[in-house]
Amino acid sequence: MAASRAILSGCRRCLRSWRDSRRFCPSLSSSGVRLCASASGETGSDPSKPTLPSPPDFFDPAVQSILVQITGVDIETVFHQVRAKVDPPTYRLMTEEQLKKAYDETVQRASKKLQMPPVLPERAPIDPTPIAENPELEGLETSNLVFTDISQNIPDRERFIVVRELDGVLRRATWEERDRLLQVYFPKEGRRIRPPPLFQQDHINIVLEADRHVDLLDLCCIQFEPDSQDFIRIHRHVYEDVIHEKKYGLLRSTRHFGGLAWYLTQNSKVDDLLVDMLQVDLADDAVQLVRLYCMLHPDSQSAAKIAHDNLQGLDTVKAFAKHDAVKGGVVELAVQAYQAAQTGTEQADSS
Amino acid sequence: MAAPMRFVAIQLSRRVYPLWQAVSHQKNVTTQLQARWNTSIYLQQARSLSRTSVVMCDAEEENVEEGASKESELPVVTWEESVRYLQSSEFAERYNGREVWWDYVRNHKGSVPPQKTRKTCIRARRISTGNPCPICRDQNLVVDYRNVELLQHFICPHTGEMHNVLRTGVCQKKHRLLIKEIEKAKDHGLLSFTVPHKEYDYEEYNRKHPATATVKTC
Repeated sequence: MAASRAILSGCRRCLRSWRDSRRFCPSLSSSGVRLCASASGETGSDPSKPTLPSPPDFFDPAVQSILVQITGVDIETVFHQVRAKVDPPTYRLMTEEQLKKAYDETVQRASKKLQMPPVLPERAPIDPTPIAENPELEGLETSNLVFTDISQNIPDRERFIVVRELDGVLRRATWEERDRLLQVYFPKEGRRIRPPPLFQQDHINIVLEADRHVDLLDLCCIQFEPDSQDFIRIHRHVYEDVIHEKKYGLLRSTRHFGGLAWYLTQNSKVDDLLVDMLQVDLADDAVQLVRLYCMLHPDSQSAAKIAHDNLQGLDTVKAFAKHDAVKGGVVELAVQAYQAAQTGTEQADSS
Repeated sequence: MAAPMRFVAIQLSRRVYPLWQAVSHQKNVTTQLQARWNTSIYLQQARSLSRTSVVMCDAEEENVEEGASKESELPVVTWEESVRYLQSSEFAERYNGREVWWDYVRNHKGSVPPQKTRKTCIRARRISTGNPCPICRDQNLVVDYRNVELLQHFICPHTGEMHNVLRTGVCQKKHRLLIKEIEKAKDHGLLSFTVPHKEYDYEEYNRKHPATATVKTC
């Protein structure tokens, strides 16, 4: 549904602007520009071979529902006291229904704040083929000139930015040049024209030592595009630090937990997170995480066993611990400890 | 004759009246602080030493003894020494756990303080005023982006914004330096601050356009 919508909208915009671009630069042949590439999963597929069901994308509704459930909505964490100029609190006298309605509205606002940053593959470099070549301009300038279309109401990715080089070649600007110039002419809140030194390796470690993982990821979302190299590198570094230091609680109930869970599941590093969930009494989340793993790795042993025996609840976690977990023993122990704690509380309640 | 005088009177009242509310609060605070200052020992120390700074740590005294002409010039203190000073017992004793500007009182004529602090306390590497500002009066306070504890003294813990210069009383030169170093500390990840929220439109990343045509992968 989402894929077909994308193709239709892409085509309409593409055809019109493809015609414009032909008028713009007659040397560009129709094969040079790849128009609205078909949705992911279909490119390069051979119609003669039987296609296996490909693992779902990050934006798949089933995946998104699992990630949303795992993230959780802790009102205290989402609406924690911020260091900013805020108005003094207001007090209202409410009935039970009004209170319930206000609480539901708060949960709605919280889910908006918990929108996950998109997980995308790294962007391919922009086509460097020259739009025009004018050797008569060589030697007239001492630096490149950049021409930006500053008309209003054009989306960032549809704005033409071209560079005239010293040897007279006119080409499209690279992604880095585009990001810089769009920030010059159409500044976004909180974004700097050049990335601050905070994102370099040595400074990242200072920030992470202070347990400011969420701040760092928020700054990264503001500064970089989701498919840029820096965004992916910084997120990977932060996730690895979270795994290494076992600081899953820092990201829980924030917008970044979904991305973390996706990264762990893709790279089969979910064991410690499962243990952490069981220790904090989030057994349902642990079951959902194993379900996500089976969706992303349909050819794994635990996926096959779970589907075959139709296992439910914590049995799926045990099956995963037995077959696919790297630290299977630790996960099994955690499950047993959780179940023992559960039976202990049940006995205490019944007696 | 009457018309220009009335005009002048109106202009004066327009400028003076809005400051009145700020001034009456300031006056109460100022009189209390002045009372405290007049009885403190620091004022006596400042009066007895003509042009050198109030606090000197032992390492600097040795340097001062050499070279008579350099006696009253301020010694250069590095940011690392400043960081160590902020952890030391002399700092705790001098400032009693409060901000470095807490006990500073500006001297001015009348009840309304000038809405701009002095341009600078230090000219030609010497203190050129009798009542230097909170940073200039203590040579061991070095404003540097790595000296985070000192920078925190000038940031409100509740709003995260920098204190008004009229509140802290620092000279303009040091205030501009503080602004620059606080910004630099935030850029290097040494100071935390509230980050704005970014909203995503997932559709933006599905669309393709010739403006951002990528390299064709075969």
